[in-house]
Amino acid sequence: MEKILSLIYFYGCRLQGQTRSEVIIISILSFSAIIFLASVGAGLLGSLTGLGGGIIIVPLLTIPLGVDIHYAMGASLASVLATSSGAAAANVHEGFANFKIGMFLEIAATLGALAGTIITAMIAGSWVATVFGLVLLYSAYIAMVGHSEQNIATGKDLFANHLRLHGECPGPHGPKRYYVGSVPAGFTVMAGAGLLSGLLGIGSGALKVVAMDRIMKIPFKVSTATSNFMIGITAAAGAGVYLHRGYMNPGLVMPVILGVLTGSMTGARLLPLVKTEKLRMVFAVTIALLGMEMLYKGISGHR
Amino acid sequence: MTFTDQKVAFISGIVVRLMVLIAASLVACAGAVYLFHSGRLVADYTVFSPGPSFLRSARGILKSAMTKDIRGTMQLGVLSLILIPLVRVLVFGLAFILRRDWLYVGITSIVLGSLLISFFLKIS
Repeated sequence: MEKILSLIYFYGCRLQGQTRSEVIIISILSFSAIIFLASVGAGLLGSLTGLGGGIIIVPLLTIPLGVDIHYAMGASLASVLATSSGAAAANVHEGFANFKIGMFLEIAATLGALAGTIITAMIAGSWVATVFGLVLLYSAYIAMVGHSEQNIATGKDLFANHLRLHGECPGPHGPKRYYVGSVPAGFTVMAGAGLLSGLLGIGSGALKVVAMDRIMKIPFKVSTATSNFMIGITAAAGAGVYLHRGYMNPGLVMPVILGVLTGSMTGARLLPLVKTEKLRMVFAVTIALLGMEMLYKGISGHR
Repeated sequence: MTFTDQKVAFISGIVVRLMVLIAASLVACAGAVYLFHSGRLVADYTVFSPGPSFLRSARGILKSAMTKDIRGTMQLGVLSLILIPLVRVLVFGLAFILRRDWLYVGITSIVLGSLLISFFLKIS
């Protein structure tokens, strides 16, 4: 408790222009405990709102805890891997996911992620923070709007027919057939999602769901389940480079992935019991604030 | 025996469950030992440095995990977490081969190829 209070005090000092390195002294044990608890919260919120925990890990580590953005990105990418595989391990049937759609769109996402990691290795941390701030603000907007029942694809998309992307998902009256539309547009957005994933160390699950749900007219539950299959593969495409460049510090990654795994698995159990509408609002406001702070930090870092 | 998407998902799900269990217990156990030994040191992640090279390559991680460095064991857990999606893609690729669905064998190979490139890509 004392440590947490002193951390808040130090954060106040930093706001007044003092640098953290001259004020903060905290042991690895207490720091790991704080990070573990924060990651449990991130994983819980991420799985309850369906937006994933990764996007909140980076601002959480960099802003109040003063962790360098590259370490934060490494820990976040590891947490995306943990969430994706953790969900697959918890629910081996995955009745809703469409693996053909996932695999096909992953061509764009993994190539995008490769490009993103190459760019991130070449630009300064302040630029990464700036882009991150913008992505957080956009995600806040997505969380605020939620998803609407879309008009349904007709099954005339040439690519979708050739690639046999249409599928069936469990419905109240047995399996229900659905069609996939606007494949080229969805594919392009996936490349962008992959790019952001490699650039920022996130899974960009929210953007992937937008691409499938709103652009390609895939049912929402199929979109989220397929997105969860995809984020792990996209993250793995960036992880090799992150590991090699030393972004993944085991001492920091350890409490983050254990926390996020605990949080997201608890979240999946709590999901039927919780009203997610209000939580979405809390999440939206939180990431909007973090986004603004991140943007400020990034822009002031350019000077 | 035909391999429907559901069957393949089930098989890959079981494999993933096993690997997550291994990865998480490696990280948790090594993490506990790490905190016991180094928990009282000062935490400092404010300035980035790439860190020792043995924690940054698969060979180095394996070697240091087998010797006494506990950070190597933690990193081995992280490495196995990174490999899980690769294994999932492999399982789906195998299923597509067994189904003789050559279009999707091609698609899966492209994804697998870019994953492998990223593992061997060295950006300095």
